Amino acid sequence: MKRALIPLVVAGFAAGLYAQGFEAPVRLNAGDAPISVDVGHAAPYYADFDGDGKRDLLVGQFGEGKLRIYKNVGEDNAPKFKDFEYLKADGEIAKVPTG
Amino acid sequence: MDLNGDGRKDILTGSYTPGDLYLFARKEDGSFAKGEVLKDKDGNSIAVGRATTPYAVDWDSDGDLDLLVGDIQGYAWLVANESGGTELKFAAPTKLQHDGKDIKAEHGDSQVVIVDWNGDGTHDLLLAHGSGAVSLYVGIAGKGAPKLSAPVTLVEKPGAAKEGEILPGSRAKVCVSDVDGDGALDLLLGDFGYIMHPQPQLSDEEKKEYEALKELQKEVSAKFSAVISRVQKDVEKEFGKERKDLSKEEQQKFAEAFSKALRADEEYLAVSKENSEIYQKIAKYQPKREYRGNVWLYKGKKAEKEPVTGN
Repeated sequence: MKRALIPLVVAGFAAGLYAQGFEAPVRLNAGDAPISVDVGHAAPYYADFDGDGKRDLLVGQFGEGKLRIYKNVGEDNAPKFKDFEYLKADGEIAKVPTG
Repeated sequence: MDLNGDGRKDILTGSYTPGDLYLFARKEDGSFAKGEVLKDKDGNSIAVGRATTPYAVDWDSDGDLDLLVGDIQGYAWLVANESGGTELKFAAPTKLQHDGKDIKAEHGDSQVVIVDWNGDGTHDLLLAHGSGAVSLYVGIAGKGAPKLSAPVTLVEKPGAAKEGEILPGSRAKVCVSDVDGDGALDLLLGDFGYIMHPQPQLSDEEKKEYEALKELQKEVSAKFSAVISRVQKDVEKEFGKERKDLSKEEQQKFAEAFSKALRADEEYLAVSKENSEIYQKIAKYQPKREYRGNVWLYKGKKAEKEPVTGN
């Protein structure tokens, strides 16, 4: 998937140029509003969660130590997010201690 | 990642306090089993500190998954797996170092992500900082675990936002992925921040009410402290010692007895209710702080032309 660029990046590394820089950051939306988790401390992970071939967005939050799963309703390389569900474990919403 | 070696992708997460690591194992039907606290080879929880952030990867290339864990103090802990296979046989945590010094995130709250950032086939280490910055330690291939070169800044800590502007905040947590599939690695960065809502304009009547509530709040909070110290003294009597003189073990028992005594005390319950009612009433006259946690996409720029290599 990222193979095409590797020769360039390796060459860049040799020249000390491996940090290619980023475009200005943009916030990801769910529907029309930016994703914002309870009590902040968003911790994202991008992976195909449901096995439909499209990567989904998982976001941990401080609020009650829960994990949001935003299903990708767009394309794998052009993700769109709408609703989320909290991760469930053993039939209940999974939580880790927040103190 | 598949941590337990059953061929299914699991979820691994840290927690705030005491900082245990949790494995949510994926079942055959795709659902997840109850979170299970990860233990080391001696059966102790691998809580390297509070606010833990684990990442599983074969760091030392010996065929098993090791853990790299950040914590509230900002260290980058290596919890080496000694099994050499799918089993989990974790050794005691050690702090990763660079140039003879412990790696430590600015403002604590570290998170470690391992990725081959420069595409040379060796693990590189990304360190996300409490300050909101992200740095890259390029790995240099060797026998076993890679050596780390000097860090470079990938994302600067955020500057001051202009009024009404929202910038990436602090306590960065990152995930590396080529999100848009253009061949350049992108960064997803989760943050912590808040939006201040200014104090609303108050009418004269509201101002009077606000002042009265502030007075009342002082009284109630004095009453509240008095009840708490009365109950504490009662519990100290039971223990035959003052709280400050207790051993670490006794402290734990004391805390439990104290909290039980408070919950059973009618005056405490009444004052506590009064206290929270005032807080709620007064809140609408005060500036409000709204916490937020957004996910920012930093799109990696594609190299425009082939850089000079020098060979």
